[in-house]
Amino acid sequence: MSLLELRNVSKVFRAGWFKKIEVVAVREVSLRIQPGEIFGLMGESGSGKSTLGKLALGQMLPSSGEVWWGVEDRLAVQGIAQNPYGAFNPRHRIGFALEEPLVYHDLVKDKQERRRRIGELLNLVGIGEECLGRYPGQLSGGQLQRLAIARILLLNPRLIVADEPTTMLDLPVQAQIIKLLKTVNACTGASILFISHDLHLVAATVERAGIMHGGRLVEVGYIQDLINKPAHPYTKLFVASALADAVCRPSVNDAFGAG
Amino acid sequence: MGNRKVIAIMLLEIRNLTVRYRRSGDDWDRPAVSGLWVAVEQGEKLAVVGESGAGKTTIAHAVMGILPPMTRVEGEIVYRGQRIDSRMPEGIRGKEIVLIPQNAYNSLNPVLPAGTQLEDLQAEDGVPSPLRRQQLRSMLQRVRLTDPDAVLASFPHQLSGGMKQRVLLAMGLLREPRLIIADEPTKGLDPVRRLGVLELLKDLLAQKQQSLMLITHDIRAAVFLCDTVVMMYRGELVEKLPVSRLYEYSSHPYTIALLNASPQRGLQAGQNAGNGISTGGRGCSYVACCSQSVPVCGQERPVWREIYPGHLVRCHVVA
Amino acid sequence: MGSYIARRTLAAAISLAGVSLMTFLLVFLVPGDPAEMVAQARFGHGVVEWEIEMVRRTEGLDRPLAVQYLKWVSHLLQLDLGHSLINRQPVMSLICSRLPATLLLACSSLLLSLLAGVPAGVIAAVKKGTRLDSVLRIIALAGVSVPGFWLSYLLIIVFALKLKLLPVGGYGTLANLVMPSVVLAAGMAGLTARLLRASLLEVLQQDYIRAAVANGLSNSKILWKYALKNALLPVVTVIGLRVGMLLSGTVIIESIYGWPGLGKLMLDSIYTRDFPVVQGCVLVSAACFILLNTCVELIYAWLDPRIRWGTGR
Repeated sequence: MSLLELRNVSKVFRAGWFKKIEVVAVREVSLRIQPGEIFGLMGESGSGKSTLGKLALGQMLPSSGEVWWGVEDRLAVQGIAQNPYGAFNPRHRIGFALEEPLVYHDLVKDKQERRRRIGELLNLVGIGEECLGRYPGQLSGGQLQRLAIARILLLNPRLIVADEPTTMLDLPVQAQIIKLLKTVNACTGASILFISHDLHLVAATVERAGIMHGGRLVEVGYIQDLINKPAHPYTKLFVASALADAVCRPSVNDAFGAG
Repeated sequence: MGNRKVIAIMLLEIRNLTVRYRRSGDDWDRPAVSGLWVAVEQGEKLAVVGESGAGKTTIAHAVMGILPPMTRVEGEIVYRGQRIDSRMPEGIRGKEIVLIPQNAYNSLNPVLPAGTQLEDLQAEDGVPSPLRRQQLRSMLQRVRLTDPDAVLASFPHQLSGGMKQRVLLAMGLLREPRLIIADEPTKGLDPVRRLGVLELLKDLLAQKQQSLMLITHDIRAAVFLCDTVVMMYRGELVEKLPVSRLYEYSSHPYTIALLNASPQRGLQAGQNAGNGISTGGRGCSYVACCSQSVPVCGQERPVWREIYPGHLVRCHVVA
Repeated sequence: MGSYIARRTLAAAISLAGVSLMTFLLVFLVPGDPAEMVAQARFGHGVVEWEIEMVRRTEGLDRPLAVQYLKWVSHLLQLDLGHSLINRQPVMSLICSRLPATLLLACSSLLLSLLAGVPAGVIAAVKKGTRLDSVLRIIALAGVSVPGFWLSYLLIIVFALKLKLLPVGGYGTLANLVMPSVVLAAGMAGLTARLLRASLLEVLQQDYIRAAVANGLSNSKILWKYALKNALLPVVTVIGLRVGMLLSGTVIIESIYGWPGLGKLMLDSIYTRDFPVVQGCVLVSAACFILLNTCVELIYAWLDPRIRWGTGR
């Protein structure tokens, strides 16, 4: 049984009093994500991938079609957004922000237990305990993004929707976040819907992927097939553009090791 | 190599530049750029590569004289032998040196049509009124905007992000500058658009053989467009090398770490923890994160060494 | 743009309708019996029961409220605001006789405040941090804080009594206009200067201004063409509101200078319980306010094309 299933889902946005403007953000998309898999969703800005992410999270209702989740608890579906600074209330300390979900949903009543769990997760994401007393503005984007991941892990999610989690971060930090997400997937078995426009990043992270263009899901498959044997014209364009400039060859200077 | 003398015409020279932003009152931040020396020759295409916060945009703003007020600047910027600063002599800023800014979203005045903003530049040059339209039309076509008249009549908020970026490109190239400073032209773009921008830039530069200073964190864009790369870390340059040597022969640990972090090389995250050597502010700026550091790295600042003609590194461990 | 104008006009009409309803109800909300008030005005204080009833019947005050309202609105549309209880004059003509004075004062104050406030704001912003900037800001603050009546008396003492340059009060010549305008303009100029300075400083930080500087545009062009238009937006809104208040008549200033404006009329008619006149004044003030507000919104749309066309392409 799939963890997430979209059946012919569409999402239309309407506006205007006299003159009706209609924007079809998502057009008849059908998709399945299995438990434990990392699925990549690619496309240009405006292709509808973020909207699809919100539909997968249940933040929006589709205009037509159905979204099915293979989980019992709505807390099992969680998301990470592009801007880590937007994910935290700048007026609350990190410690408070992390305890909040546990308290609000009445998950762990004992304060000691909460502290212990938070400590465990901080360890997992690689953030020191001293950050608990700090404010979001005092931390870097990479640190905050890791804390965002820690925060959703407190709720034991089965499905994580990561909407361009690394786009605002630098390359070395990107690498850390991706590594972390893969660790989370390996340890907890949570599925990840990884939304990004960076083909190389997606290729290094996922097994299966889909490409969106103009609201439609134009092609789905194993990432290596999409890259090596693209079928749809837009997929070909997308892949070709991403690979067009110089390919980065492996390092010859092994004396320096792998860093 | 040997004794061949190549006389390069130095277009832009930045000498010992240090820029400090003011936090509050008498409190000055750690310098954004520190003791920087970099030069662009006529016809050269140079890339300044580094992460965000490394100070790359600060260099661009310092050259253009648009640093925020309350900024302390030391050092010299020399253009074609003439010293320039924020009160640039007429006819250089915007005409011989142009900046294609990073934030296309807010770089056009929202209350004026795009055409007016372009025409104001023409007015500065004294282009006679009847000729302006035609010049603008052909310029917009050069940057591959299909309906120039519509774009000229539009307000910025009516244009898409991509169109705005092209208008900014047009603004930059309109007056046939000698040096173009492009600040992160590919930031946040999907592969198709990114390639479009890169190819357009390459095309435009080839037409008139202008010099380029490309500021980016996108190493592949640097390789695509430029001949020389300088790597920047926290306000200082750490390595300078020709693009042809970048992938195989980069030597500075930071350059290598950056290359290794890219997805094609397996997203190697690196320790980021260094070897526990403390500096007290005296040694190499990278020592805190460097896995190759040795005690001398914490005591002395490394000096530039040429490990190959045209390839310089600033590191104790290398060479 | 067309649909924007239509929507603004519709909003204005709805506001006016609402105001008319409230003005109508004013009479019934005031303690006392309207019929009795009218009767007293007509027959003197020793009014008897049957006289009140007669008034009630003839004025239609025994009809249901809704009917009375409709009758009132129909009169309104014919520009008939009723008659003053005191001197039986038509309210409309009373107001019309006072309106020119109020308009004159409002316009001259507005002009003065703009002439003083806009340059002050621009200079203060451009010369931020200098002594000139501090001086201008203190003067602006004084303009906003100083009570109108105090300033009036000060000016009267200095210019009318001591220096004998201007008349103490009255209406008719340019000299009469000077002091009241200055007093009213002081507050608005101070506000304009402060607001414009803050707004301009913010605009000057924007990316598009830096880009314009980087493109080599001259400083004056950047200031006047690129920055000012953007900076005026919030200022226009606030000034619009203030001028609306001016149009409703500034009671105190008019009283001090004996300026025959709407404010004084309203004050006097409140004292004498002349409620048709009060109603008329309130209605006219509100209408001026709404009209002015709508004008401000249209000016706003002219200044800021984003409002004109939303994000359509």
